Amino acid sequence: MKSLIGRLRRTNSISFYSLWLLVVLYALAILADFISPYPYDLQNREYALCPPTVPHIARNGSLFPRPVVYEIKIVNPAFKEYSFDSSHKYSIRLFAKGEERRIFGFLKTDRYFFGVDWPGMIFLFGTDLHGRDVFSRVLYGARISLSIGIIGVAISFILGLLVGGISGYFGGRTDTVLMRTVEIIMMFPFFYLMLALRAAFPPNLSSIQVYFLIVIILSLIGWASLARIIRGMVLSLKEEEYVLAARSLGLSSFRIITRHILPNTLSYTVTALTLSIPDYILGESALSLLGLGIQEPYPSWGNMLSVTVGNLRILTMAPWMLIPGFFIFLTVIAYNFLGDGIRNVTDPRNW
Amino acid sequence: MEKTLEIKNLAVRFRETRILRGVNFCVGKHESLALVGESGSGKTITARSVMRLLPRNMYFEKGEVLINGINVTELQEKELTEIRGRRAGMIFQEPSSYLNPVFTAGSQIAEAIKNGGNFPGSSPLRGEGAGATSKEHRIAQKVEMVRPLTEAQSARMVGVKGRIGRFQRKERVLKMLDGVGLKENVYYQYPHQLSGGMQQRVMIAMALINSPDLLIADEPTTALDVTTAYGIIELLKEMMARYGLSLLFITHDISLAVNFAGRIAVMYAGKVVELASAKEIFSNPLHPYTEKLISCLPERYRTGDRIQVIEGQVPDFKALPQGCAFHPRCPYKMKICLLEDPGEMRKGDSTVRCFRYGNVVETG
Repeated sequence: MKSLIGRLRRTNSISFYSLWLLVVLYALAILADFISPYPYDLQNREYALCPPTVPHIARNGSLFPRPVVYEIKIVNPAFKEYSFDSSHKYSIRLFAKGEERRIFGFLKTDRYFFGVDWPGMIFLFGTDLHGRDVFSRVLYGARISLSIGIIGVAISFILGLLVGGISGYFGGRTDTVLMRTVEIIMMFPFFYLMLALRAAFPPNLSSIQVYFLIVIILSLIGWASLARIIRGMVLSLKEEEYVLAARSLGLSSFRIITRHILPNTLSYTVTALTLSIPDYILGESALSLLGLGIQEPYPSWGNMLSVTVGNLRILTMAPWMLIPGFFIFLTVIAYNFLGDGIRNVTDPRNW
Repeated sequence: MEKTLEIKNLAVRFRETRILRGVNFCVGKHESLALVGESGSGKTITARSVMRLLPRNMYFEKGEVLINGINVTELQEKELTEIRGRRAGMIFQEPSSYLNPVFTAGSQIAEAIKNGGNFPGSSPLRGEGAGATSKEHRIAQKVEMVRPLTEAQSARMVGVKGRIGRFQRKERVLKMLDGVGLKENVYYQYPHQLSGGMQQRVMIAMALINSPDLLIADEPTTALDVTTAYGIIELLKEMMARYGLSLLFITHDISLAVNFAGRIAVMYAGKVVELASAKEIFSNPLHPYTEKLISCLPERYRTGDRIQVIEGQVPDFKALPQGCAFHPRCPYKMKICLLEDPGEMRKGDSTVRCFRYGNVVETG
């Protein structure tokens, strides 16, 4: 694994940086409790749709220049007009004191990674309709949006590899039954099946239940096409001589499939894996966008975007509401580059 | 003579075509038997039937293949995994394509190691209790019921406990690598980083790691250059002596067979046409085909001489000539050769299928 990353660095720099970008994104998601300056559901009604407070460098009564934010002045609360008053500055402090809360559900602390002294406010990405800090919500939303891809892909790949492997290796009736099942699943239009499945479940589920439901729905649809491709590869790989050699050593069929055939599909599989993670992120976004995914107040990148849909006024007045979309874009493209790079380095014959 | 492998009247079909038409021979304990013949004579199919590794569309028509008295043609696929590797190992023609490219040599050899606790031969150590409940164990017992293990076999298994741990596996692999003349670092190398000879040595290590009684070598030296091939042959000899192996050696190089094997079976068109000791075959070939093969050896000619060839082609299996399959190319053909298929005739210690040595007609 370590050498894989090393090779990634040597051969393809853009995919290596994508890897780092993803590491940073995942770290932000995991540490959201600590990094975000406000809770995701804290509403500052008086600051609804406030534009981003841009940090400035200024000497704020101290000897050395330091990052500060200006005070937000409410110009017209009815039209959500704000201005920044550069004469009142609030220093951005690291490990600032704030309201006490629990990190990861058990670590009690009143320290935030950064923050400003009350009554100053820091909204790096602005605020939404209810005056919630978009930056904090992006971090919390990343937990849903980034993990849904990994978990969904894990489930659908285990299913796809096993079904494809068994189907291709044994052939005959097993193959027919499994492949017809796959075809039935593939036949359904992806998006409508998703909607139908979601609609079939009770609407009054908690956010965490909905989350798992979405993962399962997405992966139960996603494994079919992979199984089909894997089956095709297994069909050709099982005729390889090393499979014959493995059989001559008395290995069981299951071991031959899992140890000799499937690893040889790896250069394809790993690529397909990284390339299909974006599908899950987008799938979740799409469901949330239609109000069928993660429910308010819990954020996901998808449901944060859903507010802006069909609301041109918000879109023109508060373009920072589109920032979650930018993060989706960033993640998807990083995964694509990573997948590309991994495909290049996983083939042992290229080393 | 105790027989490690016995093939009785084996016939294999490919759709409507018979590929093997009644093969008979046996390999004794600690003996090496060479199977020689032209391409397409059925050598490889014979070897693969012993391991029950026939291509999908081929099947047994009749006959028996007995390994240590166990008829492998009747075994279930599950039971076969006990035979393969543990009773009989196989090495192949082109080692590069028979090794999995994505795993290191060491991990592939280690993978071949079977959990010895399920092996009834290690019963004194079964007290450890490991692995004794597995399905594998029951299958092993079922196979074993046909015939108990020999003393030597159980002796070899001593020291092998139930489930073999990772470190024990590695230790065994390193020992085996040393045994086949490879350095320790090969353990960590991928097949494509090894030379052909080294790859073949890894294959041998894989095949022998469970100390089987029988090793089938399907043209192990064909893809190698002469000096490497010599090394492999020497290694096989050494392994035979060390492990008390029986060897079924398949080659189309008759001079190699004569130098290496105790007995030689000559195959032609899916039948063993002559079976005799190597010395006998070389000095006094009985069957016209063998005679021709021997006389074609380049070693027998001086520089500048024209090397003889056998006229004609190996017959097409779909349209075998009536009577003896060799008669269109045979210089001694008689009337009966065109009509009847010769059966097995004994002459001295040799077995031969030719009407020149008697009038036994093949039936069935």
